[in-house]
Amino acid sequence: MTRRRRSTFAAQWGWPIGLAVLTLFGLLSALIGEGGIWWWLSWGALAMPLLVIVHHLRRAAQGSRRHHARARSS
Amino acid sequence: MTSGALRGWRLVHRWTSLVSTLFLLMLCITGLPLVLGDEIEHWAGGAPPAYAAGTAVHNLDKMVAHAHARFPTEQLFSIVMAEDEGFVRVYLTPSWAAYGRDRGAAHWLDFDARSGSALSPHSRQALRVESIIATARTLHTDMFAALPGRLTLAAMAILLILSLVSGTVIYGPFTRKLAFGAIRSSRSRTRWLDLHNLLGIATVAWLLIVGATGAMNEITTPLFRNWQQNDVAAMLAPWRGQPPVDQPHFISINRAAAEAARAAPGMTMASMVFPGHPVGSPHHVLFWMRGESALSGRLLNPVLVDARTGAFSGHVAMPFHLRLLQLCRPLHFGDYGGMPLKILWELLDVVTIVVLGSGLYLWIARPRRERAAARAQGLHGASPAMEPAE
Repeated sequence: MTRRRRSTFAAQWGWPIGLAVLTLFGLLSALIGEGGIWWWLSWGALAMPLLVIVHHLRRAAQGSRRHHARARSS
Repeated sequence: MTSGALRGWRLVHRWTSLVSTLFLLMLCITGLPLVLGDEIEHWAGGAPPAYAAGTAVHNLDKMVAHAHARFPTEQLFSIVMAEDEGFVRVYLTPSWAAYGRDRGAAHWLDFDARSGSALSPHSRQALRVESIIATARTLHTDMFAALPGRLTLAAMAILLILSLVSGTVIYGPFTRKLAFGAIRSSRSRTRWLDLHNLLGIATVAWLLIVGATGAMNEITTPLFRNWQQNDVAAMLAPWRGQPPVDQPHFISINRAAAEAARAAPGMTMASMVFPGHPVGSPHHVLFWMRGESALSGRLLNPVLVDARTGAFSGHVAMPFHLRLLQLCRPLHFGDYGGMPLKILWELLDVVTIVVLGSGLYLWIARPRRERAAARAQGLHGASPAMEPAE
């Protein structure tokens, strides 16, 4: 595998794999852990997919506002 | 990936999703109130104050005597210890035959866990809220169709898993040229495709676990019944042929509970099931005991106490696969990590609804040439085009 192909794989699958690992960690840490820090870690980990979604939705909304602004000014 | 393989995965994704989408939408929507079901019922009914864990539970015999006095002709069904939430719930049924015909025949009385006093009957508003939650629960578990309903929903969960796997496989070719999470604003269908891809891939692990444990929960009931008919029935062989115990001839429930506690040191009682119950013994009070730690608290251990003599009759060994099922059950409900986990469950449920809805829209608004190709060649000849024309 060439370096270039590896880096496209990482670019494409890095986030999905990272979020999946965080999700599984979050699900199990609250199940097996005894409250306290494990619950906090679980909440943080499971919130990550939602935060990533919100981040990209906001970026898309800003992008489309800029897009519309450009369309109006031209 | 070859174009033939991609076409195959796309067909798998399309058809597993199409067949299951309406069921899954129903499951997601009924799931919303169920995640917070306890909280909603408390809010509607004004629950008693919760006591600290380990609070001594008041005299169970007095609670049962009170229940018998109010419903003299009825049978004790089970008792559920909800002392963490401050109450003990005593279930009754007019008769076992009535319960066999309609599971709704069972009803309950709540008692304050510490004082043992009966809690006031629920207001009409609380009863209405409870019946809405109960309806959502029945829809969510068997759609009012008992075992066939359960098996149908289990099959839909398996289709969901296939749809998630195939969706993840085709996510690769679909997004190869895009930055992660990019939502193009060029055309409505493209925007919804990008949204579907982002929301789907970000939550796929959660949905996979919830779907798989949902399917497991659906088959738990038949597996438990099977276990009960074989292992438990073998254990009950010495009592075979004896008439079932009449409920007035019970020994003291306090004494039976003490006997069960002695037989299971370090455990507390989660619930007890009385003779006549379909998942119990006709000659015993069946106690479900649980451990104290987070993990062992999830594993319920059955203990049998003779309903005539009050003597400990034995532990019921539980096969490994049923223990594993018990351990995984909470992964479906999200009720094991406090209120923040429940709220995350609700939000992830909403994301799933959007994924399902957008998927349906993408199919309805699929490019015309694809529909024309499908008409011309039949289903298997659907166009391999994977990107909507820009």
